[in-house]
Amino acid sequence: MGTDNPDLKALKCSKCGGGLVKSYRSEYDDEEEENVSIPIGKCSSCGQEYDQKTEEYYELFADDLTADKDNSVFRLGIKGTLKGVEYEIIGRIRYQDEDEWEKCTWDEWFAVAADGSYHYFVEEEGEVHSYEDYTPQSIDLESDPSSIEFEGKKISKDDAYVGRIVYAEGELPWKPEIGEPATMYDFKKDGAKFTIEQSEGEVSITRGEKLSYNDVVAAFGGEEHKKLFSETVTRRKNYKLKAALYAVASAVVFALAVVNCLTTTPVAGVMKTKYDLAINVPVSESGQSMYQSEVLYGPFELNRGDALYTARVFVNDSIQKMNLEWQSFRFLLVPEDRLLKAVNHQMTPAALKDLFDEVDAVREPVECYTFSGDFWDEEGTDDEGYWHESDLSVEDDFVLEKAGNYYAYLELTSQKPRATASIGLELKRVKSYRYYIVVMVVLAGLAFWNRAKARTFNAMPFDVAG
Amino acid sequence: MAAAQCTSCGAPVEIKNRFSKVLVCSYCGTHLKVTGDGFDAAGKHPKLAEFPSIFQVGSRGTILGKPFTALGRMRYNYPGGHFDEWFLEYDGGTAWLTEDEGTYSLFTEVEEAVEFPDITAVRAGQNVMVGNKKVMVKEKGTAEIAGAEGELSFYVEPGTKVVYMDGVSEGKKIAIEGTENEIELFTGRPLLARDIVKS
Repeated sequence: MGTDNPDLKALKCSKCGGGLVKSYRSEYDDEEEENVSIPIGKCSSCGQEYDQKTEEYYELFADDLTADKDNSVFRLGIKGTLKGVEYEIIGRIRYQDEDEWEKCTWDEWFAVAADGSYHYFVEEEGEVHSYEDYTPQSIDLESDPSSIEFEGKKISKDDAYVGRIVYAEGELPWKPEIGEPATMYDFKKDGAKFTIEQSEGEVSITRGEKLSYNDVVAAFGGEEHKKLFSETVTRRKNYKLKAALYAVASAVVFALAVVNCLTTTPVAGVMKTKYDLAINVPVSESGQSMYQSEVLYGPFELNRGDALYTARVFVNDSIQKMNLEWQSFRFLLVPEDRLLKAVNHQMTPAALKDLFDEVDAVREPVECYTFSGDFWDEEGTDDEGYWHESDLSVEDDFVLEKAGNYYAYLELTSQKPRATASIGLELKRVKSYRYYIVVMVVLAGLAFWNRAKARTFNAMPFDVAG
Repeated sequence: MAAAQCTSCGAPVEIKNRFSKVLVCSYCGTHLKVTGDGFDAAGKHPKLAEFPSIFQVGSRGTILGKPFTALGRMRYNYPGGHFDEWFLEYDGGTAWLTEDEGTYSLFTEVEEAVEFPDITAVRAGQNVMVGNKKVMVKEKGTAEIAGAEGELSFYVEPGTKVVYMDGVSEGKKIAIEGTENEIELFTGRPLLARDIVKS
């Protein structure tokens, strides 16, 4: 019995007897949230439509739904031994999920064992389950409109799906009709997989277990299938091993990145040489009086180019405390060669002050890096009473392009007169971790790719689950 | 037990179980009703076709560890194929073993005085009350007696229509079979092939 059987191919319109042709209908898809074209059968005479809820649809589209029917390790007449029992495949029924517009089929292979008992091997998406009849302690399909009861377990009727027969061949325990529907429930209970299949004339209850595809191929596969499956398994193992190695390497590199990120080397002698260019010069801005100081530190050596540094500017409480006031700063990091060129090698306080007073106006910037910030000390009262808060440290990271000697310029603006020495400056070199991050991402990508290949690589001509 | 001759062909026949009501001559296929005086020929019917089966008349062994002897069988045809019911001498009594689609069920309890549903009106998946048991109908259909062989505990003429219903209840299999004259309830259990050991 198969699709060639003329009994199963009466492709005539049940309304007018006209011929049926494949056609399409536009229908709104809730998941896609747009109109999609769905395949239907259509009478060329009266226009009657036959969708996937009709038997005519499956007769019409049987060829599309069975084009890959020979892509299986099973075939009629083949014998194989599983767990010491020899089976002969004697029949097969292919079902299509009624709710799917695209091909979504599974095969139920009917086998007879050496002892005369029958068995089902269900093959779907590369997995094979073995099923046999089961008699439950209790089952109730109809008392509750929303669920069925199976040995105390409730299974929602919303989980049911309808399978429609699209192909049948060989010896079968009943005469299937193309398009014949069966309502099915798949569920697990106590670790076992059960299927309840309800058709118009029968309810069948089966208990199944997943079979190792290796066992299936060993039992029923031909030499070519065994060779290709062996290659598939070997390659998948290799990909899995590689994925594990890349994942471990990625984790190691990540750990190194973290260690390096947390490891810093202070730059020595930053505040060793100091030029006070201005000290508490009264200025007025927007009607507010304040004081401005300028300090230049250096030269000091930053001995690693293309490296990450952290600059920290802070209030040194041991020199002068902040007391209910604010102070802002601007920090400039200046390469020695640029500074010398800008002041024509005249490193006098006056020349330096002239330069930094107009530093924002020079054509070529003298600084290679700058950042600014505020310190403050405040108090007040709110619902919870008196509060006193302060922020006395600001830091920022920068990447130094080139190693060499540098100067650090601080422009300080304060609410009250303050000692320039009360502002401290620290520079620290952070061990490079950027490259580690790049390497880690690459390794993680390789791990994911190999993991995916370990699941999907397939030398077989049909799906084989991992 | 009781050795005699087929009233149709004269071949030697023997009744092995005292509850048997009919014996099918293995030579000529005549159905011999067991009477107080001997046998009455009830008709001659073709022998059953030899489909693969776990038993043949006379097979012995154990089922679930208890001894059995296959005395005879009744074959039923239905639109989807056929099934056999084997009449067994089992563990000192009698039992019926159904062989259907490669599955086996052993029915050791036969009841006649229980309230049945109208099995012509039930449908698959429906709950019905059989006596005080709730039974889920697994299958319902009509079959026709195809023939018999060996000896049997009741006689039904080949060609007789039988309405049957299979169900499950409390982990047991329930089978109801009805003809125009009789309706019987069988209670049993499923068997695995390994539960049956032939000697």
